[in-house]
Amino acid sequence: MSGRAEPVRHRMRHVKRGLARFVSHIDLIHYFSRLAARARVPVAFTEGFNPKPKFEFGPALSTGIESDCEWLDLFLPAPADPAALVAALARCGVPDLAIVECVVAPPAKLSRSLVELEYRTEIAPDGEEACDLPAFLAGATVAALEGAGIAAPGFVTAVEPLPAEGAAAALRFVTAHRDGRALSPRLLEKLPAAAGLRFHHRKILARFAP
Amino acid sequence: MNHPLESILPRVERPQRYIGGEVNAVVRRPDPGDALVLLAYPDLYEIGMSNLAQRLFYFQLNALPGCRADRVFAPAPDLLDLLRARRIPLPSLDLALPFSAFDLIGSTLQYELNYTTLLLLLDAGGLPLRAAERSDADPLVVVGGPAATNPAPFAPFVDLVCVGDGEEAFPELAALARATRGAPRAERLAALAAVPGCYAPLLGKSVKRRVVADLDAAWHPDRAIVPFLPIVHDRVSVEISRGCPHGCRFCHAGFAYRPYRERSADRIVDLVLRQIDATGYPEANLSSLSATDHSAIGEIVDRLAAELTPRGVSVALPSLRISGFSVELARRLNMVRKSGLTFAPEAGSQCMRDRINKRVTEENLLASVAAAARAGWRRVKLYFMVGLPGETDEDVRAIAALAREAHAAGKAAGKGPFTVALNASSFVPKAHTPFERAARIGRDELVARFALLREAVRGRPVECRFSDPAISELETIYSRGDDRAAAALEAAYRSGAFLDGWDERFRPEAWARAFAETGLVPDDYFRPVAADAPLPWDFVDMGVDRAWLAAEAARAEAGRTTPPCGPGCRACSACADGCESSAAGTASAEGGDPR
Repeated sequence: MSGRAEPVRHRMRHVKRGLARFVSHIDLIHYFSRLAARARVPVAFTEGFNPKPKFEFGPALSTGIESDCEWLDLFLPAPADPAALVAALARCGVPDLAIVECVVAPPAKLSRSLVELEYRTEIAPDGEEACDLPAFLAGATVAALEGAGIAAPGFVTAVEPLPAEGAAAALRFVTAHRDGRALSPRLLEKLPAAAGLRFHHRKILARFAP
Repeated sequence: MNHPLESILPRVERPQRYIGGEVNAVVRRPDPGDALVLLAYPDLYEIGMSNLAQRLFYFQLNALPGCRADRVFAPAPDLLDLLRARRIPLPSLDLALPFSAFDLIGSTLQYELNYTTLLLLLDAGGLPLRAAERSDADPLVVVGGPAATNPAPFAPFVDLVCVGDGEEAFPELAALARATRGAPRAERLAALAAVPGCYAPLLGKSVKRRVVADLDAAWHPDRAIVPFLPIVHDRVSVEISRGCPHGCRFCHAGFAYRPYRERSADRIVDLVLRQIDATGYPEANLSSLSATDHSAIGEIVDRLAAELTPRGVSVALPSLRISGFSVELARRLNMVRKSGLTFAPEAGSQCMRDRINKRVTEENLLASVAAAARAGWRRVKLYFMVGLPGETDEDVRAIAALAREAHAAGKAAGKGPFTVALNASSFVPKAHTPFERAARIGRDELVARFALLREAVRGRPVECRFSDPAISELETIYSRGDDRAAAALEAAYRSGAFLDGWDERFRPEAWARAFAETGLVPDDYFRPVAADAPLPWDFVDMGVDRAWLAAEAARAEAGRTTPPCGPGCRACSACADGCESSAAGTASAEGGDPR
């Protein structure tokens, strides 16, 4: 143990698009393990009786939500060339889960570094039931979410309209990242007049502490 | 995005089963001239994706010019309800196409409990259940696999049956299905039924099974799809041999896959390494009916261990014969940490083992268990069958005695705690075996013998598990099934039976209703069949001489064993010039391994 260099943290951003949004968080762990093996990337393994590749993930994204910015940390024996690493992983993976960015040796753990997450939610009538979209939109405010006890105070920092681009309406939710909690669609289902509406969520931005 | 299941996926469990797009999945769209084949596996994704035939045909057909193969698996009940409620036909996995878009639908039938799920797939795919009701525009439905050797129980629902090895026949069928597109259905059936190994129930009743003589040259996938969720055998798998030289009289596979054939060590090692490279899986499985009998198994194990252990990849070696050599191989693969050891003595008394031609002595078994304990295993699983032809209560008690002796041997050799897990199932007479005419034990008698066994091991450190008699009875009826069984099959499906192999889905009341409705009496299928009575599967030539099977049955009754397959033997007629067994003939006694 003595004299062995500490593995170097590499922070990778990947997408989760299309039907791959139904891959659960735990399945992602297996996906990346096998991806690293196929790409012959010498990831560090955990210690102990049943060694597994050592990954650290950001907050688990609920199944069904797309994302442009999922982050995970992997550990290599030495600093890699970020572009080469991304290219090697891209060759061996599927496009809907593509790794698109690599930051070598970020200063702190992932879960401690994330401070804010942003989501784009597209809203459309479900087609089967009557719905009152204007009433829903009127009730979709930070104050209403906190007042109804749906969001912990300070958890949702902004709810704003976005250009709809083909959907009936779109909202931007900005959430403070705290204790690994992610915005869940259940939050929206509890809003008044949410019946008869269909939501499509996409995480669009993750902000880190400087 | 316009995927047909888009709005449903958020509402079902494990939607990852239905999305496709996995690593190594084939994503290219078909060209207009391509033959389109749908590999419809009659079980859930988690089971079907583990199946070697499903993997093989997918990659083989997609590698053929002018052919595109897609996959589909049984919808789980929650998805099925939503598909039915919204009238959405079950789409294929890669291309999201309806069944009607395909030229050929192919299903591999692994065991009799798949039959209702085959009907489910056809129904959910929008095809008429009965072949006679399909139109010129409907795809052709072909089935194969180990449970297709007695076709009577499912013949009305399929257009073609392929008996025997499929890797030469299936591409031929795919090409013909494409070439005859647009022709009247009868013409298409006649063309495909002319492929050796195949027949069309609507056109005739005679078929000789297809055999691939040179297994080493036969096609085998060099990659596997890596699913997005855990599947039952979540690893790469290479078929190291086909068939088995031992001739245990109850075993359908041992007779259906004669002659015993091997792949070479070089080919096997190459395939394993390619599959590991292509998938990143940490485990490889060497698939076979009897791994220890492979003439180069020691070399294969050593080469793979040398290549893969440094990469953190383990090798699984199931289907081990009861011998010290098997334990040694397992030890060399460091399987102690990875998996338990399973042996299948099948019968507790020597005389019973002689009747079933399982040439294992008590000495062999105890020595093997002791070897396992010395190598570090703390637990061994033993498989037995109750209800074998000629069995007495003494034989049943002998199972318990043998399990106890095994426990004592393991405990003494391992110098520590040791568990023996005893799995007792019930004998099912199978078509094309020496026991195809034997009696199936009645429910009351079976329950009594299970109770006798449980009592005989009570209080000892042997864990007992018993298989469900109802499931085994269903297997018996369908293993020996006829036209009436086919009628009952449809009635059972319409009454709610499918995915019968899953505990939570098995519906004995649906089957009881179906039997009452169609007049099927289970006892008719349990009774022994007279030596001169015709059998529903007589028209299927599996290559094994029927008179020889009858002679084997007589030897069983006399308690005489038959030697294993060996070079130059022509006793059962499965071997012929140009298609011989690879068995060395030295597999004479369990425990006597020269390599």
